Amino acid sequence: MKKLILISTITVAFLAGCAMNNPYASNGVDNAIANAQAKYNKAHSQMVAWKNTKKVLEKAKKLAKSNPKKAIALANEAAYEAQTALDQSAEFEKTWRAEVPK
Amino acid sequence: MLKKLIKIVAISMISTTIVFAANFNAQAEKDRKAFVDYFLKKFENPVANRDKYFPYVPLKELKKDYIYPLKFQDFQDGPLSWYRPSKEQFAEINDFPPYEIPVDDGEELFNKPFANGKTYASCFPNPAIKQNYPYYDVHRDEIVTIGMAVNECRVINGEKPLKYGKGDLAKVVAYLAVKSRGKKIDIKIPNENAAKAYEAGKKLFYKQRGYLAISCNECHVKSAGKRIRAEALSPALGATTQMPVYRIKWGGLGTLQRRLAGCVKDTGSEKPKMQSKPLKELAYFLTYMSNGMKLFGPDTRK
Repeated sequence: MKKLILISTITVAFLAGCAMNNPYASNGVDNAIANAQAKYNKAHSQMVAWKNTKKVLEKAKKLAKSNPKKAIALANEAAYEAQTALDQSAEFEKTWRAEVPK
Repeated sequence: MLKKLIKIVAISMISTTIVFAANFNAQAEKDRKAFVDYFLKKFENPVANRDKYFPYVPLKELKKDYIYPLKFQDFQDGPLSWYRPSKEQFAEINDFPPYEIPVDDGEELFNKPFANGKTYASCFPNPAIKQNYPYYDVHRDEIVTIGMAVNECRVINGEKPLKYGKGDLAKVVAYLAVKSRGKKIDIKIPNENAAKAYEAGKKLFYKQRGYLAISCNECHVKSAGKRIRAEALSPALGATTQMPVYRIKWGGLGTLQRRLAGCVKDTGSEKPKMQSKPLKELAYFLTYMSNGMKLFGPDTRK
């Protein structure tokens, strides 16, 4: 019995840790979509957005009412892509000049 | 006394303008010379310079399929400049160039009167103008492309603008390109804002992007002269001389911006809109890099 409780506790702690570890996860569908939209807008304005992000975000918006679970997953995917595009852009901002022939 | 004073002020103003104009151009000229030099060295002797530029290309292929040494004007041919199999293939295709009919259509459109009775010639009395596009309009404070000039001509004459990138607009641009063949590209950087636009275009060219994290530079400078499967990668030097191009993939003509937008999309980025500021800046930078090269467009590509 003690063993079972220990295993359950470890499993719950592990899953909770995984959920908390995703920096882009949001709770409600509206929050998730708003978060993704804000990140996408920022990436788009800097002309660094990836080519599928908008499509994924639009799909999330369409599914918001009929399938909120799927919509959240898609919105989080879009948010993750947009944030990665922004991070990537910031990183390459430091290095691109070294590529210019001298 | 007053005349002398006016003369001194005028001379000093002109000298200041010249000095500053030279400064706006200085970085771009430095970049261009290094850019041209890179390509000339790379294609001077690919067999001898294999370790430096073509380490993974089989020696047999370098000896058999590579054309060298390439001179500055040779780069007008893009991927056909260095890769013999492509050059031979396209020489056969260009026995009956697929762009000829669209160019004829372009000529017809150019000479067809608008509703007000005028033609494009009212805006472009000398159609040999492509060597100066895109240019930085200091009064409007923006880059003006040849496509914009064509559409502005239509609007001035009471016509609706054409869709950018392909179709009738590309046909008219192709006609202007034919008329400009042999003219040397002459892009200027007239003021500080133009220099900023050039720098923005340069950054777009060299900075990696998209989910593939590649840049224009990766394929068309560093990997120019290599293949992706059977496709020869074209050098960025001279890339704008052949525009607009008839692409077999498109089944028609496309402008420089259409090609650039496609390339940006291929990196895994969002496709930029035609005539958007970043795309115009990229075209401005890239065309400047080929300054002094004779125009050759339109041409045929896969």
